[in-house]
Amino acid sequence: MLGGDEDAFAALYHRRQGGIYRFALQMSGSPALSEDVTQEVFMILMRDGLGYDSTRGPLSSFLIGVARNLIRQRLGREQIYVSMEDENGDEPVTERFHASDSPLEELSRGEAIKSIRLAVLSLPARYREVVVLCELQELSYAEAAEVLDCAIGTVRSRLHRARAMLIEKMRPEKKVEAARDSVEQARCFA
Amino acid sequence: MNCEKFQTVVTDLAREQIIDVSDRTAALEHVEACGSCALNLEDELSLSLDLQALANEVKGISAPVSLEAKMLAAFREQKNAKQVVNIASRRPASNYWVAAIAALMILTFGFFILRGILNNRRPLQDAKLNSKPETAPDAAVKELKTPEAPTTGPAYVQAPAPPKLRPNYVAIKHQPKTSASNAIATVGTAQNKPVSQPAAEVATDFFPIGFNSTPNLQEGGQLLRVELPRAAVARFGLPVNMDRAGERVKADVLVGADGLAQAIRFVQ
Repeated sequence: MLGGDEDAFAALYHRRQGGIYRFALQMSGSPALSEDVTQEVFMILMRDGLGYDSTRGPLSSFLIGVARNLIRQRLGREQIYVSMEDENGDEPVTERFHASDSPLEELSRGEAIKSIRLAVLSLPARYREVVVLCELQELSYAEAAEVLDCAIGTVRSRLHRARAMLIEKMRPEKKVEAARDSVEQARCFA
Repeated sequence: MNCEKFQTVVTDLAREQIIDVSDRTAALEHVEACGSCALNLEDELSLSLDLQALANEVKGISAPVSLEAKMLAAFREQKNAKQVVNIASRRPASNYWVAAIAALMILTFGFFILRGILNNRRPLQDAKLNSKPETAPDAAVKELKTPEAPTTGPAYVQAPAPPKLRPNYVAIKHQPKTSASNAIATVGTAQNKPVSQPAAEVATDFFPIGFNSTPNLQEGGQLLRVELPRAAVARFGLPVNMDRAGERVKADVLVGADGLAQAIRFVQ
């Protein structure tokens, strides 16, 4: 790619763009910002590809690291997160990729996913990024440490703390769901 | 295992990460005995399921298709721009000669300026050493200030005038203009004293250096004698015997008040 081979660049783009886009989307909740970040990451790679040092880690970690820095800059200037709704204000982005099921189950699952999504987006940035990397992007502790440029122990402790915060945030919703289920069951027997 | 230790492994336990067998066994035993840790593990497991569901929901999402076209277009533009830069950066080897000559001239100027400064200081120091103590301090200072009017006191060694910003224009013998219009007719001096060249020397016309077609010495300047490789003469369009290209040739360089070389002539 650095030699000007367009096919090589296209192949690299196809292979990496999804992970970068999803990372940006899960960090920001904004499809527009995610698209901008993805574009900027590849522009940086084109302009300054020699900045990547293969001895320091894989290319994916390098690209995610660049995306992370761009997102932090953007989130520092803009809203903390934006709802992941479609640009037209129609159904949420995630709903498009959800296999249809019974309406009740679909609603329950949708609600649960929406709740956890909002909970993740409400975390402070340094906790949100470890959740996104380790839980949503399914990176190992070592890979996440490379991206975040910190020790593995730091990743583990931040993830533990982040999960505790998410449990606290999700706990009221779970109580409401449990109460709603019990009411519906009672209705069934009415 | 206690509750505190349990907290260090509960995340890995809920995420089904690889942990030490003994730690896993101890954690599971602790959960059976401790209600709060059991609830904690249940919450962690539930959270892991929710996060897994969220991860699965976005697995199929990728950047918009239109972005790919933009990136490919940008890549082509970048590639074309780099090719243009590569072509422009292929400079002829002669430019390196010019750079080498310029560097040599700067070093030579610096050497002569430094020598001039040191020469000016030494006679003053000699004068101080030779001065007799009976002269009044004021008179001694006056003597040093006006070297061209020595007093009857101490023997005074006349020092050359120190370098000034408006000096010492150095008159150059009038050169007949040539068709190349590179000649500089005359640079006047404050005293209109022409420089007397040794009778055996022959000099070319002055060739301007840099982008100025004619030198500007209105704010003063100096004429410095330097030595250059003979091959440097070729840069100014003069013929060179390549067998003698390694020999050195003398040159006079006109340096403006700003310290930049304005013109050069070669002397034989």
